[in-house]
Amino acid sequence: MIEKLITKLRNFDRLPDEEEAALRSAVGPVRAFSRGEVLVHAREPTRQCMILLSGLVHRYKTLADGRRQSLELSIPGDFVDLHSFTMKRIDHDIACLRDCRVATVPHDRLEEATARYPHLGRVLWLNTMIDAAIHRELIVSLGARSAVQRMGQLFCEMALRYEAVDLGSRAGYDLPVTQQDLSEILGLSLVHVNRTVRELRERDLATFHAQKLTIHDWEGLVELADFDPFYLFLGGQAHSSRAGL
Amino acid sequence: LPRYFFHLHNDQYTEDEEGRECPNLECAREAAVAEARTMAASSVAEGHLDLSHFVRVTDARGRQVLTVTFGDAVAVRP
Repeated sequence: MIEKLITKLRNFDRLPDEEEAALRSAVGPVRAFSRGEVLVHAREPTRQCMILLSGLVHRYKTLADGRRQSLELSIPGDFVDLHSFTMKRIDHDIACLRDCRVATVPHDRLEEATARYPHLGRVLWLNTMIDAAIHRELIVSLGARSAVQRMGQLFCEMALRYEAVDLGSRAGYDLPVTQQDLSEILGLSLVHVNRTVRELRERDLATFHAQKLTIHDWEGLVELADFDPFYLFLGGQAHSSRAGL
Repeated sequence: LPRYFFHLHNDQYTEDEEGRECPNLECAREAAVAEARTMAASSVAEGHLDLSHFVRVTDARGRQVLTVTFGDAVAVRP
């Protein structure tokens, strides 16, 4: 059930069979949510973490005037709120951008598994640190990248993340978001999002249409966005640096 | 809620195929003014501005309901 998560964690470090089994046995019931439903409310107590099995989820903050800023997209295989394991009450909402299925992992079972296998705890710790790296990259985008670079950066990042769980490639993938969602992710107005989608198409780099992204020129898109995938740690940097975590 | 579509007419035409929901026409006008300001600002940041460029709003049937030029949206003093 959680194959995609296992695949992803194995990009980060070796994962012995007994740790994989411990993680699998920590999984509780599967729950389904509809598009727009909130999975986790900011400030409310949590007793479980959730692994996304299908669909698309985002973390976001809401401003007093109702506007929202997305902080990170979560795709199948992602722990959408692993940080709730230690924070217990998280500082932002998490909601579904599409209909979703999630596997729940009760905090007490996660505690048992990580107490028994400290290395598994470190792999999960790295997983949350990579979420933080993704947030840092978004801060750079929002603060310093042009509209077209921001969108290019997002499209490159999602290509590699989807590729890592066999749901897409550098040639394209399904990206089930609306222009409103893109607006909240990229900090751009709706018209600016449309204009930017058009610009990427005119430069013959990528076409986003009907919630599908087609990448015509991966190298060109990487160059435009100044995209450096190091922060995604998909090449196993932590593992290769010494004897693993 | 009714859906309105915000098309950009600047150096090129960018059609809005998805639109957004607005409670009423006045809300759609406010959104169009905000969009015109945002796109005018983006233009200024690139070193040029054409006050005749505009945002055109259509309803779900494709009928034009209002237009806002960059000049309408921004108070300009020479």
